[in-house]
Amino acid sequence: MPVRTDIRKILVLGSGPIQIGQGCEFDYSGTQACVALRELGFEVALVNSNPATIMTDSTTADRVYIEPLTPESVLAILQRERPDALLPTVGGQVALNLFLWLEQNGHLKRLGVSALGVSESTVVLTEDRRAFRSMLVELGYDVIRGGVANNPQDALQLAQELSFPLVVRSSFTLGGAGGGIVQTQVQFNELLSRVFAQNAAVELVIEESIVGWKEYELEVMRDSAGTFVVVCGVENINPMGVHTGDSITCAPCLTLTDREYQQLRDQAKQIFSQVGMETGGANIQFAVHPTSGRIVVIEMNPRVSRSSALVSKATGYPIARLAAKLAAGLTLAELQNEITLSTTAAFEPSIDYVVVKIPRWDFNKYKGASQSLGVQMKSVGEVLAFGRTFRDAFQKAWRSLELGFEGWPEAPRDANIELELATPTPLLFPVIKSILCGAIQLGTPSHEVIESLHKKTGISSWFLHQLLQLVELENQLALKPESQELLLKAKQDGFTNKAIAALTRQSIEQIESRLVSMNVKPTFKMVDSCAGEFEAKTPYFYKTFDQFDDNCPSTRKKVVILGSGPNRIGQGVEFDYSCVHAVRAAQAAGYEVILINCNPETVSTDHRVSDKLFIEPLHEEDVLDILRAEKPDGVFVQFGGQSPLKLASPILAAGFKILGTSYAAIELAENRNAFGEFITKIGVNVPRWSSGSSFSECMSLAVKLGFPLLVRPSYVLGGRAMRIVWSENELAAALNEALEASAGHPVLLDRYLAGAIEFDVDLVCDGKEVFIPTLMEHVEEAGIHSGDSTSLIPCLKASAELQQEILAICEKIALQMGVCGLLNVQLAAHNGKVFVLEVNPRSSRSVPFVSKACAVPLAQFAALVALGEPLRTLVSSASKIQAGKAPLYAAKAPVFPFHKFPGVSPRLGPEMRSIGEVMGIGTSHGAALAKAYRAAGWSLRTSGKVLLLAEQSAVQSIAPALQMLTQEFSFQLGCLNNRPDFLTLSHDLVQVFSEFQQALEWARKSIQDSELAMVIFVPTQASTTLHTLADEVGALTTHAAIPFIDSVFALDAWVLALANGRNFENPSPLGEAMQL
Amino acid sequence: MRASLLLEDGTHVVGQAHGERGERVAELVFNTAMTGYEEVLSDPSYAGQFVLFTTSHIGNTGVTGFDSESRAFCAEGFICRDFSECVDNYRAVSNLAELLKASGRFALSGVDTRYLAQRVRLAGCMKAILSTEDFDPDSLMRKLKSASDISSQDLVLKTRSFSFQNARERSAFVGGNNAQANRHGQASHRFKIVAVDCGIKRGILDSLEELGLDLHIVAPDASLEDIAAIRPDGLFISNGPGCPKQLAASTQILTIIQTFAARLPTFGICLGHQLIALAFDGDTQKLEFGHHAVNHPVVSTCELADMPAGVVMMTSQNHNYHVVEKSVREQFEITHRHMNDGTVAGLRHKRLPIFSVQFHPECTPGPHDAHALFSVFVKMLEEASNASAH
Repeated sequence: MPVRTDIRKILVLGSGPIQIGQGCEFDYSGTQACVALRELGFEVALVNSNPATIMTDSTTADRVYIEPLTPESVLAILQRERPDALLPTVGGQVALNLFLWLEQNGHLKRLGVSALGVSESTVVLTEDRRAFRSMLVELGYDVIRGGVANNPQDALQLAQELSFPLVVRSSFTLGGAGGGIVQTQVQFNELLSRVFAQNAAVELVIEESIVGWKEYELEVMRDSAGTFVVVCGVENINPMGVHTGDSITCAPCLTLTDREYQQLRDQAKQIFSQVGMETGGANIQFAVHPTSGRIVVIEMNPRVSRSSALVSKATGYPIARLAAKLAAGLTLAELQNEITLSTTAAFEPSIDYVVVKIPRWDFNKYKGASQSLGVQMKSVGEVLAFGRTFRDAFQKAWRSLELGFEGWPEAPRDANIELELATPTPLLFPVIKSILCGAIQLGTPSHEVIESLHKKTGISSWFLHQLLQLVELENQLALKPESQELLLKAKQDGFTNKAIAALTRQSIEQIESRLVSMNVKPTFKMVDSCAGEFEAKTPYFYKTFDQFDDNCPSTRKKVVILGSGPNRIGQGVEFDYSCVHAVRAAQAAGYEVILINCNPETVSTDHRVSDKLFIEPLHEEDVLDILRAEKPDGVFVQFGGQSPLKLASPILAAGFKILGTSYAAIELAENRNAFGEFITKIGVNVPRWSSGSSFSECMSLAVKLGFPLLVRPSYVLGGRAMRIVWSENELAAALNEALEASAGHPVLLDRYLAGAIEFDVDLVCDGKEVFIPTLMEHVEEAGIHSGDSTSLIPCLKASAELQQEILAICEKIALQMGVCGLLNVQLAAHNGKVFVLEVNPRSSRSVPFVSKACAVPLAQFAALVALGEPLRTLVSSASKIQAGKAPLYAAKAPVFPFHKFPGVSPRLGPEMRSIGEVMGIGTSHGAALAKAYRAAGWSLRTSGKVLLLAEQSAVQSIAPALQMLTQEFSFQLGCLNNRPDFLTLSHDLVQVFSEFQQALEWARKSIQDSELAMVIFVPTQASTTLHTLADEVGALTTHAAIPFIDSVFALDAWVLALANGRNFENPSPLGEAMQL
Repeated sequence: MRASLLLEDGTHVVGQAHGERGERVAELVFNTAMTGYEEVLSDPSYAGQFVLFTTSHIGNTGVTGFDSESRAFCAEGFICRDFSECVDNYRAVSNLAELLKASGRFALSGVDTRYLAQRVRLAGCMKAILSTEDFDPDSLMRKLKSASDISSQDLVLKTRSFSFQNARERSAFVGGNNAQANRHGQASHRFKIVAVDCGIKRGILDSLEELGLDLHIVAPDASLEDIAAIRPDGLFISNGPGCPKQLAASTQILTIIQTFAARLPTFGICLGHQLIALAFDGDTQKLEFGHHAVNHPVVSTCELADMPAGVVMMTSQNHNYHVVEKSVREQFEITHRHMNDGTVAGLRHKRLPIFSVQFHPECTPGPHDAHALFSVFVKMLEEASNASAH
């Protein structure tokens, strides 16, 4: 079928900020969809609030709206654009929900907009569990068995029909445990008597538990002609019970016979057509009982997803790209397999390798959060690794996590083995390794260990046996360190030279020379979607140790760009954005560009982006193996954040050229002593500081420096283990963690500049000249991590003179350091003086924000400059410093995942905890802030209740804001201890609580009644009661999405936003916004 | 234990041996399916061939017996990247290592299977020698060169002793608890079918019997009288190993087809499809490296029973030969086409009720998209029966 001619213009919905469960996979799918639709000649407009995406680049679509993804805002855009069609299937659940709202409220019909790829009934059917279940029953498929009981007799009857364990849920929580798993009849009887005694009218849903069943997903596609393909099956190594986003998964499915696999395929095909989905990609999840083979459908997502991004990367089959083309009317048979260029897209990829995905968690950012893995996803990123065997890929995946592992690690000594097995946490697999190692030492028969582990964890014995092989190999290597056979096997099973060296008690150099003498070299295999059956044209590779190499390095001039690895707090999609821009710039400059990364969610790991893609860990050995094979003219380490920067030294030592800023300058910025000397020499202020390597040294240094102090480890990103301390006691408490995180490097102690205004600058320097597009002013005071701050372009508070002074300082640092490329400088203005807080000679989180606010491709400039292009050819000298002349008002606001971590306090500090960001663009600071806050998910209510937590002494500092809130708006105020004396309001409007508990209860009730609009906390040092209360109330607000405002400056910004809150209905696309 | 493999083009690899010891010469073909090794290795069509599996792990789900395509290990041996000792499947009754031992075969693992597949893709199907005794490429090459080609007739005769002759036999093989086989027993036998067994797959037997057909299995060299004595309502020509022309030259098969297909509804699969073409003046040719996969797209090019044209199916394929299109144009309509290389995938005789497909609608292993094609045969039988009733 040809491309639809009844539509001309399409609006594509993005997914908004990165959140847990909604990562940068939607930047990948959204970008792919836009490119695909434009290739077909459609006019494409898109909306997305996330500035850190390639999707929101002005070049991705004909018109790009960086606007909140709220119903009102999207409706306003629809009304302005009047597209013929809407594509809601590439922006995750956010886009689907927006589509539902627009459809159900009649807006699409009224505006004559048709939805592509999905219908309302499909979304409703796949989301309504009951309807979905009855559809499955109608189709004759097995479903989770269960029923409803209103009395103990029925409940017992049900239990008899089913078998234990059972899942029991009720309308209210069961003894505080929520829906629970009941293992035995005795437990069940107890539960019944308790529940029905409490409330005789309770209704219980009793179902069989499928925890421990095998879990599979099929990524499928179908076109309007009814052609159906399974792109790939994914097997969850963690069985049912752990969210697939938190599970270690692999492809292809490794423990299914063809008979079973085809049953899954048949069901997927049938369900796809039954839910009324005409075209596109979908994900269907199954549970398979391990000893009876019963198959139960868990759910279906009628859209592209995290798994579809993973499967696209795992097979080379671009699901989102094809889904967009199918939605436009084309069929799979009409589309080409873009990898072979000779066969059709109507096929099912066959792969001759194994991929393993491991999630990355960042629990240490969320103190007090439970680390147990269950039905709610908690990971913040993931890695993908390719190997010729499962073992090879599994080892590589652990290495890709960048947690310091060479491969699959053992658990720390203090891990509670039995507990980990019973309730999986991120330590489950390390614990399994410890158990297997222990069993080998004790000589326990392997089948016994595997049987017992299988019983306790539900993990398939096949995978456990693979893991056992790895442990046995380690053991053998230690026993026979000279064996050539074992050495080769170790390389083929994904061990690094460093790991082998440790096991064989040899040096890395010894291992390397043994491999040379054995003629064992790394080989690169192509990802070709067809297992070698057809000739493939796409240069997409992974490393393994096999006999023959698929990779033919070119003789072109070429560069390697190192990506940023898995998303984590502090290093996310922003760095991938810079990498992709660097790729484009270097390609434009005539270079072959080779990209190395291991994050399957990203745009950079789309093999269409670079000239050659290697999905490999950002690990010294893996990267050097590629460099030695490719012999590039240079390597970029400045775009992928801290991960590639750490590799600069070994890359240089191996004889490769670091492009741009020299290694010496990178070192200078990392080495606090050298940097301190340097900065003093050039006459720039830094807060008084010192560094110490031991507890006692730090304590005595602190006394000399005075308090407050900022304590931080060196060589970490995202402010890990960074604390502000006001006293010796607090310092002592913070030091141990900082010393540990520093891992041998000294801990840094800086004087903390309380109440300072913080600034962020991203600039490009070519060694001779400096280009500073703008200054960013933080809303929150210095001390709140820059990644967690709301930031503004242009400056709101800084005077023109102050701005000029900051620009001059940045220019001086860049030139004196000899920066060639990007430089990020963080500064603070305190009592009329400017201090430099941090200097990073690399890309930063704010580069995309600045690039979009100022319409300059900053990362591209940096790449070009590093390749020798003079800055003056890129920017006219007059525009070299544009600060203060930003063409629009822009605000960037952080997005936090606190609601996924119950009990965690949302109070901000020097350690970064936000996971995503949004951008608001407007005609004033207030309007930009209002949009940013809305985009971040806050409702900007102008009435309701406000809880104020502040000491009397601090209240004065927020007097104007409080006046505004209570008088301009109609907020009611609840205060602890004191009534602000400047408020001349009636008792109805201001309530005063004399006790902690009273205030907490009031907050709880107001949240329950949906009346609480915000909590204001003005921190004062050493006010413990208030801090405790703030933590408790804060934890309550995270679930209800209520703003928790914990600084004076932030409150001012909120008031400004509220005052401008109604201006958001006026969306304008990027280019037009620029002309404001 | 080590084993080495030498290809005709001189490629020599050494890896791990599994199963028995020995030395064998066979044709090397690669299969890109990621599931279904048990079906593949027991498929009589693989007789005389080494199967090179491109998927990484083989053996993971053990051996069920139930999924076997015949009662024997039909391939000469196999080559894989990683051989699984451990089995995870609730239906498994044995594992590949045991199966190899029981059938006197051996396998090679730990070699660069991707490279070997690429060699076959570039150089075409090749003879190869697999040995657990000899690791010297020169000596292996001498043996490879001097090995005589096994004739298609011998191949078919050999594999016929492997293939199940009916569902009851299969039921006995898997241990009698075969629900599917029991169902067959109850089916009402509307039509009597003579199935010419050139190495018939269990999946085909199942599929035909599921439709209530009463199967009478005969050899390709059965006499016309014996077949006529069965008084069949239809004729089926099965899949099988080797070159169709060789088989045609050495057996009665073409005469059988010419005699009975002229009056009875006739259906052929794979080798059967090629033989039908040969019986009606068509020609077959060898493909460069064959189609051995479960992901090959086939499109229907004309309406067939109640199935429309233009339907794309993922099909299971296993053939080294194909029907030359222009040789059958006169008498046949092309019903299906391979989408990757455009070769003929299905034929319908322009005048007679004859239908055949190059791929495997029984789908064992493979996606079930094409399974409905068996009903085309039943429709043909019904039409013929209605016509004769009038």
